[in-house]
Amino acid sequence: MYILGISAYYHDSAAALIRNGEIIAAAQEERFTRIKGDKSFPNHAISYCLEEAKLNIEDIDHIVFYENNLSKFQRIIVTHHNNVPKGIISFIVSISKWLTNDLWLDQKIQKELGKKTSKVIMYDHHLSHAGSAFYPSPFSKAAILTIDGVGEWATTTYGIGHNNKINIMKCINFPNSIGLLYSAFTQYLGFRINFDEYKVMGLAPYGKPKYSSLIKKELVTIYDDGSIKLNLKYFNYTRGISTINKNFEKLFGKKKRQPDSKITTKDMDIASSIQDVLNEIVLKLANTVYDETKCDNLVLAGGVALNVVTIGYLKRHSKFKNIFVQPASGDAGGALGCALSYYYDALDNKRIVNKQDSMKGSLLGPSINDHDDLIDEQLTLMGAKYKYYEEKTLIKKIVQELAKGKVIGIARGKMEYGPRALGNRSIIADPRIIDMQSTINLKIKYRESFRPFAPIVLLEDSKKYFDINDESPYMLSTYYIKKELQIPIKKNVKGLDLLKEKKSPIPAVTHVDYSSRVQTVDKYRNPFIYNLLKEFKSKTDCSVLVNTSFNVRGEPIVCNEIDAYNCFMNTEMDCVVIGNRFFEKENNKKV
Amino acid sequence: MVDTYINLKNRKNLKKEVINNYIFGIFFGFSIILIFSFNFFYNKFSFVSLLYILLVFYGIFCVLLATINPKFKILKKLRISTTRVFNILGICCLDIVLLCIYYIVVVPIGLIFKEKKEVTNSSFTTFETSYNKTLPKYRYLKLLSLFSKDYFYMIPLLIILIIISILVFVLTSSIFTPLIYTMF
Ligand SMILES: [Fe+2]
Repeated sequence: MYILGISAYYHDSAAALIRNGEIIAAAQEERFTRIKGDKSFPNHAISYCLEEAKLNIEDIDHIVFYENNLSKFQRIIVTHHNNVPKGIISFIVSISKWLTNDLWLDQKIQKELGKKTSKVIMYDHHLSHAGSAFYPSPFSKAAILTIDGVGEWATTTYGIGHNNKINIMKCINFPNSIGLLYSAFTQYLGFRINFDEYKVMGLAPYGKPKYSSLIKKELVTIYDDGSIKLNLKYFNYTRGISTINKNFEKLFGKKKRQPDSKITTKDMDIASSIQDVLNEIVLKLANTVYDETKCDNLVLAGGVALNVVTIGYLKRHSKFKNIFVQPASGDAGGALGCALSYYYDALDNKRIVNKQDSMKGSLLGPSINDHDDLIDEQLTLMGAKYKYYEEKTLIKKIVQELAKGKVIGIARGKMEYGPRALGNRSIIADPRIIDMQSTINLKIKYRESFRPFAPIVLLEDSKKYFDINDESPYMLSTYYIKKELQIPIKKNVKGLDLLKEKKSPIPAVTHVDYSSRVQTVDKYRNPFIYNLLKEFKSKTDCSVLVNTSFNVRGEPIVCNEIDAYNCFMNTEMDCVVIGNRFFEKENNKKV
Repeated sequence: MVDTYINLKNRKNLKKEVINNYIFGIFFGFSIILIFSFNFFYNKFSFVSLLYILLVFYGIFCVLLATINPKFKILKKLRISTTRVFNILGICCLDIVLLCIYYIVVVPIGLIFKEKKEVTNSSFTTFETSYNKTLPKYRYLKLLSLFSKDYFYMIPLLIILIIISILVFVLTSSIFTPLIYTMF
């Protein structure tokens, strides 16, 4: 039985295909259309999924959409009733959009797919998130926690998953939303909502949580069980287009930061405070969930689950023994979640638990083959000069260049599903070089960043570098550098300069608070990167590499050979590996 | 498998586009020729008559293009810009209607039935899934039954919105949209 899951029209469209519960393919539309966070109907992603399974769209047994438009419509109407007499503009804008478009969403999707397909099923947003977290997890029984901005009504839910069934027990409904609270601060700090939440998180370690008590006193009431209530006096999202209003700016005594303006100490403190509050809320929630479910395993999904700092905090402080987070926790993951939930929960099919997890390393996207005549022809036409290597020699060659301090792009095998590059569409470099962080940012990403890069480390060596007790194959949690490796920072260094200090033997991947977004690599999920790390270790005695996504600022991660080559040519990257081809900058100069 | 989903789809869309262009050129062209030439001869000659003549020529131009070759790029551009103009007009009308509805229906009902703020020590509620097999099959009945439990007082508004939505659907889903608008 084939089921196609689709998420679209809000932010970051995606499609996923499962066969009898097994994940066959999943990809985000942005990678194909090269528009970051593309929300249009995922035609390319669907096409890829079908090609991967060698199917026509008519062969799909069930088509599931990750959200229910009618319930969402209900929420919008009820919210406007509760807001009268304010909110006229938002009423007109949203209702006219609904009447002309979203009310017929299922028909619109059906029309996109063609008449002969099976009927589109509108599933539930948070059940989709819950399914995306629980069904691929390595647990037969687990507590489930989903937290995001908003779905239909729910913004946070928890429950329990057992074998093939999910039972959601409680939820927090709109307008009380943890995701929207964090987004409000994203906007206030001059970043883009739904895109740049990670920047707030990256900024937090520079500041001190001076405003935590103010936030808890004025903006949000946190109850003992972790549920929250927002003070709508400061927010505008229930009745306007913007998320925050003037009262919010007044509360912090300054206007919201303009994008690209200088980041002040106050901004850092505010970022630190909201991160602190978020950690507190999520920990309280998790403890409630533990008390209610009495289960040692926890699975998480929803946009907030992508906050690696919070997940790290949960791993250290919550009562749960094992925590699994869906790698594509955002709404793109809803495509996979709704398909899985429909197959197991709605159709009541038997579930076989995979001890490792069933995400297949999240490598579910289109593949870059080692050899492909058509691609070779295209690359030659573009003037590319490269050499083929066998895998073993290729690894040796890469390590040789890495040791010289070069920055290398890797585009090989299947593309990752979710926001993180896990080694198949990555840029790698030596983390021991002190200015590697700024080199990569200025030469390749064309930006100045206050965040360090993420490290990839051999699973068996991860304990040598980090305080880590489990594996972290999807880079979804922060861990601290081991105490004995931490180098104290000089007292007179402040603000963004802190990042340039040497804080550990691997400075390019160490944040100013000594935390690190670790990805552990094992030989099952990604043998190529595993062997590469081993070779690097044998040559340099360091089993860590810098891993950052293969893209330039403002663009999605590269998808195919041509994207990778173009990215290589348009930046000052030293070398690139595409399939088994090795390209060097000296031979590939722009004419 | 012969061709990928996306290629098949693109080809289908291209075909559809040509048909749409043809229908647009012929129907829209003829209808504005008829309407404005009638207006031209019926009314006294004035400054407005010049506008009528221009519009008639625009109609003739559309018909000519469609009959010669509906694949002309300029015809597609004309179709898109014309429908866009009508869409904007349509949305403006809709917005005015919604403005009236807001003050006549939503505000009074909202003020009467506003949900009361209770003092509690938790904001958790029981979760109700929106994926529910027991709901009626038809969209509008589904909507009504969704509201019937807790929000029965919004049903009058819902019925008004449903009527508008049916109107909007008929107007926007047909390829004769421009024709219908010109009738108005
Ligand atoms: Fe979501």
